[in-house]
Amino acid sequence: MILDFSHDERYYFIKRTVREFCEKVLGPTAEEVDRAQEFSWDNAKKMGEMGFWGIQVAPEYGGAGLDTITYAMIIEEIARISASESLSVTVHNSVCAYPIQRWGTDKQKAKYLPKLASGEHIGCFSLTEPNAGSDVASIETTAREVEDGYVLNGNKVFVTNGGVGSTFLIGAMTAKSAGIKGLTIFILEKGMKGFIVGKHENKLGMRGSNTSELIMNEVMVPRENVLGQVNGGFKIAMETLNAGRIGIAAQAVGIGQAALELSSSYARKRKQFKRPLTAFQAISFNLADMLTEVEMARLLVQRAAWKKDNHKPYAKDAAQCKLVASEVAMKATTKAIQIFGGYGFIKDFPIERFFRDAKVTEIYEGTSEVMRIIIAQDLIGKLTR
Amino acid sequence: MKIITCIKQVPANSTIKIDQVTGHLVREATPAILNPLDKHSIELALEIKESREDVEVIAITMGPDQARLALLEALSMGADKAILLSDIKFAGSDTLATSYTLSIAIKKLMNDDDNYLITCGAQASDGETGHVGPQVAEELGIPSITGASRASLDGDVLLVTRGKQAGKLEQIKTRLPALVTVTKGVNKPRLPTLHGITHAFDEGALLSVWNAATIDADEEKIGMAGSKTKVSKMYTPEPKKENITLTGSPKEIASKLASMLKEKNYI
Amino acid sequence: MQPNAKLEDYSGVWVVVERSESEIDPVVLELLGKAWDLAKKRNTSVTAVILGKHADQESKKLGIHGADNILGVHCPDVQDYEQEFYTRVLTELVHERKPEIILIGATPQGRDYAPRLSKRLNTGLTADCTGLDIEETTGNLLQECPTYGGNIMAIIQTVSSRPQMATVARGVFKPKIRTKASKVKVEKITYCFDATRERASTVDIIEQDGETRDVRDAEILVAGGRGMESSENFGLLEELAREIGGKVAGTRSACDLGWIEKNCQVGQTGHVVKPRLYIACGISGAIQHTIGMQDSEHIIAINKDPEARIFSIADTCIVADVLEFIPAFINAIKRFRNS
Repeated sequence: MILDFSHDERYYFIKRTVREFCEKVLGPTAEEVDRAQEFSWDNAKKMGEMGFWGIQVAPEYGGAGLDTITYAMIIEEIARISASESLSVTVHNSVCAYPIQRWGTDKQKAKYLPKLASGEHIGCFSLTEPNAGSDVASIETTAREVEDGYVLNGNKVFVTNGGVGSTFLIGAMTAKSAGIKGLTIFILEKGMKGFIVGKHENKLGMRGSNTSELIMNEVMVPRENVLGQVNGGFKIAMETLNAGRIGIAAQAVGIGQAALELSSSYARKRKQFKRPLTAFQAISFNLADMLTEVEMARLLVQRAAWKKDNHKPYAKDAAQCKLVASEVAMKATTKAIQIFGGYGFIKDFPIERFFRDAKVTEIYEGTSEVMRIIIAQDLIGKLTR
Repeated sequence: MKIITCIKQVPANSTIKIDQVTGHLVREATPAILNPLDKHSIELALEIKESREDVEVIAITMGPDQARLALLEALSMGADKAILLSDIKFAGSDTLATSYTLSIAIKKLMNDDDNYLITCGAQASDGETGHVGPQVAEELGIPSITGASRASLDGDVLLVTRGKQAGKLEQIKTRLPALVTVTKGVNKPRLPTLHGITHAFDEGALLSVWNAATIDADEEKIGMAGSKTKVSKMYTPEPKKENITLTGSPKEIASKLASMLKEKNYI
Repeated sequence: MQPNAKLEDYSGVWVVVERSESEIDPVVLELLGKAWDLAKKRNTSVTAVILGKHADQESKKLGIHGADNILGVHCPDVQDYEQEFYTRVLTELVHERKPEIILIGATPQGRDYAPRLSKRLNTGLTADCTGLDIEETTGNLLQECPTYGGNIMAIIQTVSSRPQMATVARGVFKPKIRTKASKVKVEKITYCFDATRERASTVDIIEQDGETRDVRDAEILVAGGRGMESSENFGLLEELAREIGGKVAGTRSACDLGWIEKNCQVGQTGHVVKPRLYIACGISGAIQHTIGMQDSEHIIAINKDPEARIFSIADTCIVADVLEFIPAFINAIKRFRNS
């Protein structure tokens, strides 16, 4: 019997330490970061000192070299306090630092990873365009081959960390007619000529994380900045998004956990009809459901993370945990506001922030619909084999 | 020079309970943590280390095997080495026996070298005696300064500020070797970083385990045998009383309240 | 305990005198009252030990509060408290005179030398006792003290050695007055102390600047809410805080209205505090606020609305107009402090 639900001492110690950091450092500013809708460089620096920007980066490049199970726990802990800051961290780690570490050349790794791991550079990843969301094949950004490399033209939207990033992974068509087989991933740097940050989006939730538009106008990118193979970008993109989904799912678990803790503590303290709310079954059953669902989502996250760490196929598992966790986060925050009643609807309590933050977890890194497509394809693929 | 920081693993207070039938402490389910003030003691050692070239920080504790975690926390923060004093013979130690055990381990560690500073938290959150620090110093025959709210080391002179009486601070200095116990105000302890944690947990050689034989302990002075105090009973204190309402004219209530506060020593 | 001595060789209760400023510290008088009780049960006497200079009127004061004997140790070279001086002199006196019990104030000074003294005497010491009694069968001192942050009480005994040493904080026991004071025996000795050991020495005494403290660290908080009505009225709270040695805090509404700085806010979106004493002035007790302060050790609430929610978590409730009450309260504190 190998199945074992316990973790080692180091895992628990990291969890406690990260929790203490988040409560002490991110907790007091979370409300303001959300209100101001600004990426907090101050917090980013402190998270950098803790090592949060290089959680899975190998120690030789200045990272902590931790496994994905621990990584997911750290993202969950950050999200439990400040979901929008967990977004900046998870995007940087799992869809920028991870693909560079996995597919980058030694030269690319040595150039980009140390600064990403320390947080001196913030990383982004972008496929999405005004006319290409879930449908990657319709990407319109082009990369025209010239003597020393490629010239990129096009617009990217909804780029997490776009306005604060220094290292960008950009998907562009090197062979437009080939569809997804003509996609290549390029490493772009802030300040390249013709590479401009556009509009900073005003969002419903995740307001402390920067989401911007990127505009490429005749951007010259050297050949050595191609990540992986030319025209081999689709495979990198899909695997990167698989990894990214574990991070987003972990974030959703953190939001659900926060909703559970906030509403159960409120229900215990709040008295109506001379009894605490927890004495009413309508409330306590909702809390029981929240706890069960949050734990269910966490287990799915851990299974996907375990498969990734053990080099097993995990695309379906990543999609499942992301699908379940994001829906759990949405349900848990909705129930939590109901438990808070009128107090849940005002900004004196952080629950409304988590409610707003939860929604996008069902959308980005692949919508719930796309998750179901992936899961269904896996199921039907097996049926037909 | 060496800075030795004496730390202790304690149960997290809020969850401690007494078994109503046996009267014993229910400890199993209680999470163990590093004594909060000891973080300040470790931080002081690390700050001094960072301000000089020649400092090695060694964390030491006496306790069961699980106390390794407290030492790993110190290593995660940045201590260079850690020593766990662990032996069934140490069980049941009071502060006198504990301080004896710690001080002979420190003697072994220092091996007649006098160039050292010992830092401790002013007290542990479980026993709350504040005895072990000064008693270690007494056993080693070195000065102790308790309750520091500020501490610095200039050459071999330790300069400490501490509260004397209400509204007054006292500055004290002494030469090394010396022992200082610190309060919350002395610094803001750093949190371990992810790198620090992986370094501490993955480098097994940083932590040594010593038993009674390793430190050549006198068996009459350790554990139960070396303890002069015994806990004869433990119980849960009476719950908080119901609230009271003071009545009368504002002036009358003011007098009653002031007299109550005086009685309770708030004024 | 000396190697060849027996438990029965020890008798008498000692209280070590400490001064704050030039006055005898109140804890000494409180300890004398308790020592007197214990001495009666053991059929023995109470000795107040004074290290350093002492004046004759002090003997009288100590006598009224319970001392039968006074042992004054004068040392020409030592003016104020010094760790090694106290430890050495008391060690020698204990070896020579063998008291059964020694009580010491759990003051910064007491905490400094008492552990060293117990180590040098090789005897037990119990810290911060909240109750002291004699066990009839054994004659042992039963020392009650809180542990685990006050969640548990323990009874501790020093069974195999003497003297039995205990420290007690200020305010735990009440001082007692003897109605018929018997004659106090005063004995004065001179002690020559040469500092051969490395000593820790005081270099300076500084008056503390009270303003640097944070609401999170304050032992006493005076908090105001919307009921304070104006920014000017927060001046009253400042005055009260100064008088009582605390810090001023506010609810979210008070902070939002600019009556007090944002970093002094207590509650859900401010700080969570746990002071020894929390005085809630004109605070209704909305859950956003009480979440941040309900674990305070003692809560006094002043509000003119008898139905205010704050009263449900307060220890002491005062239904009054806060603006009328606080000036009266400040005057009363001044009166009581001087009495």
